[in-house]
Amino acid sequence: MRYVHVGAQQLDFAEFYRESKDACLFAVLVSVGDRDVAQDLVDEAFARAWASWRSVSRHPAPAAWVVRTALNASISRWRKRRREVSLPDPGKVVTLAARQAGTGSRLDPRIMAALARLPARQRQVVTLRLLLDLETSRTAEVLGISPSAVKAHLARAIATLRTDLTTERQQEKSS
Amino acid sequence: MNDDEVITAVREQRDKVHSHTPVEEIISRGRTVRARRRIPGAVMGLAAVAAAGTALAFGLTGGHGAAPARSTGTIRTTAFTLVEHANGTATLTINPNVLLKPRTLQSDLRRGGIPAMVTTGRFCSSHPSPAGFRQVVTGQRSSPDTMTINPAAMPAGTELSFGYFKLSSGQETGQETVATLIDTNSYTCASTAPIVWPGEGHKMVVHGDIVATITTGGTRP
Repeated sequence: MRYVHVGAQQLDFAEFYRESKDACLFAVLVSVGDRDVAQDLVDEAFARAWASWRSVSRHPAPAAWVVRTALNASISRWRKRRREVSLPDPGKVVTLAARQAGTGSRLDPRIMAALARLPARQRQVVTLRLLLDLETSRTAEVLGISPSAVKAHLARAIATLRTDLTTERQQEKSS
Repeated sequence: MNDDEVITAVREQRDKVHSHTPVEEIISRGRTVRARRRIPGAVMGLAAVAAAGTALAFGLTGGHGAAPARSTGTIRTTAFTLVEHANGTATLTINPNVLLKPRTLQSDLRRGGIPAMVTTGRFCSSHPSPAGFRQVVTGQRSSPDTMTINPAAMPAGTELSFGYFKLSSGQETGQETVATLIDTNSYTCASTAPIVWPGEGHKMVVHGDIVATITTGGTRP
């Protein structure tokens, strides 16, 4: 019976991994800006999720757990290296990420830069609501804020993105 | 460009990125993570023994000036008293009349072999809570400010989260210290006290995997 249980758990994790790995990678890429770094962080976070799958599978949003674990690890790495490496410019990094991410399709550097420029809380809400497709109530539970706050942050984020992208399109047309 | 077009544009970017790492590679890496965790468990046990030894040494040398007074296995400040027992458990007593300095309590708990995160005006918790909280923290209803902590019962990858809140309602004031067990890899923090105690007095409240010592009914100075 024990082997059947473990096998079912593996299958459950494999399905979760297959369904969420791309969205998690993109969510982390938006924040860290480098495709290779994002891939390594996400792989490590999924490995940790597998190692604690019994508890992670009961998390309200396991994909959000993976993204946060990856970003926490990113902060730890940065803290370790901050005396040696200066922080990269977000605009340049996302442009690089857009080039690096090419697996056939190129990312739009304007959208990546606009996402990277969002304030942290707005970017967290965009990640959970738009990238991981969580409901408002689940997003609120994961972030520990109210559903109305989630809606407000999302509305502000979309307004900021719309302004950024519209301005850039107008500049392109005029030039 | 309307809102729907913005959302579609963002999701189109997401759909262009693909991870090609096979699940077998992730699981193999996960096994390494599990193996790494088993080692810190053993080291933590040794650290607790070493910390107890350190506390003993402090007890012999005593304290000076503003430093907390220490006796054998005891750290005493105006805000709290932490007593380490020979069986590996520790008793934490909070003084409700003195403002707690979170960093001091956190570092003293860690020095006593108890991994902890102490916050003021904020409380961090995991959903779901790691199993075993009732084995780690026990309260004494006869002494609402005292919690007994058994660090040996803490599962690997967990730590104790303490949140300290000053309460106020009209002219009345109070304070609340809340504790729970969290998964260090997965927790969220909120700025509201998780337990609302409507009555006046001095209570210890156990609610699910949270224990709180609450004092209400004081008068605003």
